[in-house]
Amino acid sequence: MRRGAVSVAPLVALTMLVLILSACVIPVPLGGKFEEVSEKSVGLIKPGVSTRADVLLLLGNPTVRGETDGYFLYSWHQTHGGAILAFPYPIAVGTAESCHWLAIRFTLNGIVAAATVFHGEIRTEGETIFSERGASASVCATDSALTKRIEEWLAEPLPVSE
Amino acid sequence: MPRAASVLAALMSSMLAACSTTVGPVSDPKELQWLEFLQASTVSRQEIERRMGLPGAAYENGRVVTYCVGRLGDQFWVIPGVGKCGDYTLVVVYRMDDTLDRWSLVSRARSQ
Repeated sequence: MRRGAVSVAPLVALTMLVLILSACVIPVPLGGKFEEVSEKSVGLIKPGVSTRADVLLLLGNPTVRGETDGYFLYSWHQTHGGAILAFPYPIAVGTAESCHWLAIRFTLNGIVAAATVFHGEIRTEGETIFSERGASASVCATDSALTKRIEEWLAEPLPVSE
Repeated sequence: MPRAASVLAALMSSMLAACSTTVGPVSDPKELQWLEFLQASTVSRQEIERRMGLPGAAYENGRVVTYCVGRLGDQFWVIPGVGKCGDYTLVVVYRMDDTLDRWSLVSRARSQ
């Protein structure tokens, strides 16, 4: 009788541990796109035809204005899910996010010269209640590889048709 | 079980849709009602600035200007000053003679 009780104890402890852990981590499987420039909108921006005014009427102020408005950048981000750690109140949150940019270059006459969308890698970010308020930068500010790709594209010569 | 799964799938997809927003011009007449004065054939820059104040941003030497617009329920108002616009931006394009050419109210939070 006593021998049986001893052998069950680790199993009970393990089961309790699994239950506690599964109760504390709340997965957030839902993703979402925020302030996305849809493919349909991108399709309405025609190089050689659309003007700077057309772009502004369609998308409003850009996230980034290039020098002398030579280019506009519009950013949005996408969440791919996350998890909340609660014990019993939320003490930490982790998310998987990606950053996306629509980059538009204009000719000197204010006509769209080129437009392209850049998609960033999915990056995981985490924050706890002990994190400094506002310490975590947005995924668009921290994706340096994506920023580099955009800078390289902006540095390319404009199409000859200008 | 298949019925439960389809209900769950529908619930999940509606929740997911509610979490996604796109940027684009507003087309709902209810949201544009407060801008009725812009429908007139000739509206001058002076008249627009009398009603809306000075724009928050200007492009192409002031030919294109933008106003940040706030919303609470059915009420819209122009947020003065320069800064990052919230959910709405009013874009106004003037002709060379300073009369209204085109305009649009752009929403940054259109639900998909």
